[in-house]
Amino acid sequence: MVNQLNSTPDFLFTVLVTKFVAFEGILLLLLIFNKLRRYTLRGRVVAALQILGGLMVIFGYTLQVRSLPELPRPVMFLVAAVGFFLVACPFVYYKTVRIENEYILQLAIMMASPLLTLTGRGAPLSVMIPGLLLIMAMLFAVRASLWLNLHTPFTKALLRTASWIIVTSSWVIHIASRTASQWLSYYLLLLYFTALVFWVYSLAKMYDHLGRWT
Amino acid sequence: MTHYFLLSSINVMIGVFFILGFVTGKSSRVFMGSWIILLVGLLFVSDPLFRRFFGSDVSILEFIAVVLILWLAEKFISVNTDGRFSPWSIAVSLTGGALMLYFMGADYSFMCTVLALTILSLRVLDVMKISAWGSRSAFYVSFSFGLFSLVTYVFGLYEAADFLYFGMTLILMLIMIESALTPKEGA
Repeated sequence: MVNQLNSTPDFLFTVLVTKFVAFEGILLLLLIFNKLRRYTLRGRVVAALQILGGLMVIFGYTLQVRSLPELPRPVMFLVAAVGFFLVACPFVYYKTVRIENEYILQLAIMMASPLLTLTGRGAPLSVMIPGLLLIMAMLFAVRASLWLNLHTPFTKALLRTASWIIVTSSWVIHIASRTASQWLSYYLLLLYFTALVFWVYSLAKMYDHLGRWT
Repeated sequence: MTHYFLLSSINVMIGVFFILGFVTGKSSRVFMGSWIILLVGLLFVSDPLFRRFFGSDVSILEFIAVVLILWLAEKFISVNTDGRFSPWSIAVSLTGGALMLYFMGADYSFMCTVLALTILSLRVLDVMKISAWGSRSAFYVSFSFGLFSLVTYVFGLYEAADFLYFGMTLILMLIMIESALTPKEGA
């Protein structure tokens, strides 16, 4: 979502704030699995992988914003995306992954987004590919939270809304990368930020729900 | 300029939320004085309107609105804990707000609003044991957003502070909406 035209320190720091919300989400996921560890097999290995993933996300994101010249931006994105998948790996390990029609539709809409780049009217590929990779990882993390089945109807609806907002951001990235308007960039970033807040809120409620077990 | 655009949008959203809460009459169990809720909504909406049409900065109104919310929250807490009405959170918010305005100027009234909301999160966390909402972690998240919003504003990163303020208010609103939608136990 980083617009090359908006590389002012203020905008970059605002991007960092959205990352901070993502960290809170990851932290909550770690805490949830730390609670579930007592009831699951090989809980420690899974928890270690998650922590490694969390560190990779922090490392990738921080370097992305800092833009160190010796590390190309796609590498930082890749580190963050792999970290995200590692955080979500327990869902695969415990076979909670469910490929629903809605998820397939969302992935299809997201995968169609680079087509606009190929027509020459969308975001450049150097922005599109790493951005899409991160958005896909984010979508997986949100959908994975849905698969845990520890939700109230309200938080379930929130997570579904968040997942659709994230899908929208895969198309919004084209506008964000081309607009010269500063305030429009902020509003587009706010859209993504809203999805993250929905996700974090749902995870917080899930963590509180699990707290009643112990 | 972007800061004011963002802040105005967020305040309009909060204002509309409270006005809708008043209209539907189902805003939350926290809200007991419906007319105050309408007033809070109007106060939140009035600052962006004044700024847009008269060019005057009346962001102090948002701070007054949050103090009113604090008063409602304290009233709710005192009723549900069978305890006495505790004015401390309101007193601390007012004192903190007055000190900020005195030493830093009217431009910092945004900080007074965030400070009062952060105190609200902290106060509700303090009495969470008596509540069956089960939103403890959500209040912690809201509190952390408030705290970071204050810090980023002090460092002059106004847009980042706006985002965190938005995150904090959104979480508080989600808690209220979910609380209103959840059927009361024993009902």
